[in-house]
Amino acid sequence: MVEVKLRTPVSEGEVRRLKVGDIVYLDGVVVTWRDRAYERAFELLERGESIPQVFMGAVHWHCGPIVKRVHGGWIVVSAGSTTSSRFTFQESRAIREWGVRLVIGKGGMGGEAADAMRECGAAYLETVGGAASLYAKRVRGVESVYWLDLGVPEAVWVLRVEALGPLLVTMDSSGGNLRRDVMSAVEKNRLREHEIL
Amino acid sequence: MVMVEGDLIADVAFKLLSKAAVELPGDVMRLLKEAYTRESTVRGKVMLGTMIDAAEVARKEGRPLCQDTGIPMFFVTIGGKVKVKGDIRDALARGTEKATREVPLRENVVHPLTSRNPGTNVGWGVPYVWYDYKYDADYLEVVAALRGGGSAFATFLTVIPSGVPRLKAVKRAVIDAAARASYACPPLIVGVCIGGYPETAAGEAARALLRVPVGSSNPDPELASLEEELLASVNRLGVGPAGLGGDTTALALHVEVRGSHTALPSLAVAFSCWALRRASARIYADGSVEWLHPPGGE
Repeated sequence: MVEVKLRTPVSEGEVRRLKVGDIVYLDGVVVTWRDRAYERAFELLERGESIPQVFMGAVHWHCGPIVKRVHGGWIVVSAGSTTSSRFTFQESRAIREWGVRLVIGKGGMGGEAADAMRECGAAYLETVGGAASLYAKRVRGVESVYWLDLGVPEAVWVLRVEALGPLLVTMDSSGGNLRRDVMSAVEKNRLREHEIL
Repeated sequence: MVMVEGDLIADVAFKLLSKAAVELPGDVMRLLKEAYTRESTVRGKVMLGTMIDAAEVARKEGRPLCQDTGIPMFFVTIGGKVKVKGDIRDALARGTEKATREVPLRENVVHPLTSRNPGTNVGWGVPYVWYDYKYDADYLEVVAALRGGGSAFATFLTVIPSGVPRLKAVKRAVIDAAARASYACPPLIVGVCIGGYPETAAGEAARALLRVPVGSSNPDPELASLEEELLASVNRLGVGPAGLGGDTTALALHVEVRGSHTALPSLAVAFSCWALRRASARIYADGSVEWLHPPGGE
């Protein structure tokens, strides 16, 4: 397993060199996204309004953190990925239209997102689900927060991170897709178990 | 007979949620470490090692292990030899509000149609509370459980199809449900309820996840051997830690059987991610508190 250190903003060349199975540790800035924030972003764009500049070309993290309010700021207490499959459509648009190069989540995304990654040069990285205490330690601070009226988990958090990882590359820009490979093996095994049981 | 006060129940509920959110129970940690030793794939070992590290960080630093602290649920057993002063539900709700503020837990509970979020994890019937009664007990037992949305989403419920021998149909359905649960953060704990009505089977399957210690066998030897057979089969699926391939797909599998309507044999399968978060305590009639799983005070 190859370990790769990256710093945001990440270039197309750096992303295109990432291969399925690589483990990434990321420095820089990431932006959290969940269902309601995507709804709002696309509604605003639909109406011809703009979205904050900081969202453009950002690293997206499918994450609704636990955040504690302290005098004058915020502390990220626990931060891990939510299931990405429900953001396939949103990410394929964000990769094409907002210049997103890295998407962090868990569980993988569908074919539309994989196509966008191949065409535009983007990759999908997974955190280990449930290990949110560990990932939160790598969050050095909250740069800003948008749309807090959606509630703490659904708001968009702009986070400064240091060595955020381990992040496993499971979809790369040359069509590699680890989950697809695992699931096709699982399907074969499932049918074999039907015969054994 | 001595009274158990509502304020004490609220305080116990707060401490149980605080404990459950940050401390992976010892029996779960033991299974995770055994799986780490056994796992033969490099990637699977990295995933399991990261989980073990995260559990240690969570406990040492008091951070919730997973950011998804679920919807708070309580299982309460009321002993016949204690008298409770005050409303148990209200006390558990107060404990939940305090834990949401102070641990903190994620503010997950919203109105299902408007998404309005009161920010307290209380409202519209939440926290969920299940009551049981044990007439000869001199305590009130409270179990708090936190299970994330990814695990709950994988819940499977069916009426066992006819046309195939029933036991075979059950085995296949359990394996199929486990094969689909790769996003529920494996290695999984699997709870199976065979029988009951559909709506009770789903609840019993989720409750089977809370068996203590995790991985212990059903006292019925036939069900114990079914558990063993199904666990081995799930672990041959190759889903692996984090669903990214490997030998360890499930840490434990618990089967419960409930009486079934003759025309309606239900089957429910519930899942927990590896981060099985639960804590329990007994409040005795004299007001003393025994912390059970995990043990120890605050």
